[in-house]
Amino acid sequence: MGEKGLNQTIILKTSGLAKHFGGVHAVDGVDMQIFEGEVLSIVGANGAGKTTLLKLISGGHPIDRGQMSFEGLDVSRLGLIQRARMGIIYSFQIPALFEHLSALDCVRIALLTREGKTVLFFPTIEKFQPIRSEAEEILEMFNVPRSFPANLLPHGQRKLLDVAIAFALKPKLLLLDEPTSGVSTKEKSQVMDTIMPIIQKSNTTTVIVEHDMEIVTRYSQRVIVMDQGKILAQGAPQEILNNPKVGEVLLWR
Amino acid sequence: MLNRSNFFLIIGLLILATGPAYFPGFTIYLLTYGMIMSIAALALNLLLGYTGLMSFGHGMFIGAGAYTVALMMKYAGIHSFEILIPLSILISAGLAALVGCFCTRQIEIYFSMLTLAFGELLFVLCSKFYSFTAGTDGIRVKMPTLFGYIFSRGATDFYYFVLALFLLCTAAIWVICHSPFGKTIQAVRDNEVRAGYLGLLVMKYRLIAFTISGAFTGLAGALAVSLTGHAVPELFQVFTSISIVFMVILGGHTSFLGPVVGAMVFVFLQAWLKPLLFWQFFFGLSIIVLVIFLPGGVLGGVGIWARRALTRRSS
Repeated sequence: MGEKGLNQTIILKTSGLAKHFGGVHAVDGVDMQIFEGEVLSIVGANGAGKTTLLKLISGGHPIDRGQMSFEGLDVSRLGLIQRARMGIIYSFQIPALFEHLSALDCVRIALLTREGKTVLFFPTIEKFQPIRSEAEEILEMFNVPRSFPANLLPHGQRKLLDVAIAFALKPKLLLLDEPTSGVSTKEKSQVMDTIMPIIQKSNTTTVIVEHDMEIVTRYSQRVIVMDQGKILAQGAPQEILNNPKVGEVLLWR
Repeated sequence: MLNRSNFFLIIGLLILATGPAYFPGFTIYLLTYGMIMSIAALALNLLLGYTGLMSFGHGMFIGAGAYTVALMMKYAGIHSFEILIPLSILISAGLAALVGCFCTRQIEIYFSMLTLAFGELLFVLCSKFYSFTAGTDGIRVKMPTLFGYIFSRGATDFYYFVLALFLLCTAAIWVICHSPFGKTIQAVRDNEVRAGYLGLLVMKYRLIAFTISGAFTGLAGALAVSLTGHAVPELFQVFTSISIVFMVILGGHTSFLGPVVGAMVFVFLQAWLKPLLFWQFFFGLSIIVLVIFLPGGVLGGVGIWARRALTRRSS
């Protein structure tokens, strides 16, 4: 195992987690632990169950079987909204933005949600100066222009804005679903080089689903390999790279 | 600095403020009715433009507001606006909250159909409950008073009273649309799935928006019946609802004041065409022409033409 040097406090634990769609066992009895402060990557071929696993953790899909605890509390039966309020926040593979709102407003919505100020009818949003300042600060960190409507941003910046929205909620567990999917090879490093220092600086526990092994080895402390809904292997990135069974599944050898 | 849209806004306000000095009585009546329907159209647009929900049942709130006034007058002998207006708002808001509990669970066409069904349900109840509502005969409504002041129907004093309420409602809806709640409903409209992943209970925001929208529409109903003097079950019906939808689409649901322009165009067009034989045909035709040539509504179309003119001038 590759937890050496990590904070050993378990933030999330699953046992026998399962989800099926019709006859397909997308996630099939997953036992895993996530430690506080770590960056954990989940890799696997297409259809291995990575995104489904993230959605089970976030509450986006209800759990069919198994248990899940977060910060020691059983959250198996809690829905998406309760888990989001507990700090489990999911960032989408295909950016899910508030398309007709400006990038600034997209982040402000997240901040208002975090602060419990979404049911205020007065005054106008512009009067909430601390919210505006924090939103501008976050957008600056993520390198996203504030005034463009989300639907006019280029893809790379849409990906960053998606993560920025999730980050604005101050997540205790941030779930990043393929943060570099759909961006060019050159942009991949730019996106990750923007996201990762922010995550590391804030010491946010993060799970990344990723295909690119270079990114996985560069940024994560621990890797879980999934195959057909099950965990095939887990360990430090180097151990995973040297594991012949994993190489066979992920086709790098 | 005075930009182009502020300039038109000031011109519009000046016309409304000074209108009674030079417009004939019938035009003042139409302007009064136009302002009342503008409140309803702005309220509907809070739902359509800002929350992304198309209601085909907003007539039920016009009816609720109107019948609150009519029934209170008939059975409780209350004739004063200071009681009737808050009561109409309260009852319409209550009805909207109740109906909204069922409707806002659905979206798109299912939401629209449910609102339509509730509107028709209330229409039938109102028509058939003869002993209480006087059925299809309707109830005659006297012009209410304001702190003892007696208005005369269609006269300048009532016009200014409606103008004051119209400006107040427009300002209130503008603030709501630009408040944290207003931005949140726009977020829910744009991406309800993401809103859920942020921890927002989407249905709650839709229900609140529906209730606010119903409350303002109820106020419009109370004012409308005070002006026309007759509460009839048809107010609950789909034609009233569709008329408000038309006003919003006609003016442009993407701009805040579009519904006001739409309501005014609708009211005046209807009044001008009514003396014609088969006026509904020409009315329909005018609406079709406007929608085809101004797909973003009157305000949207004016905006596009203005931008084109500016581009031509600069090139």
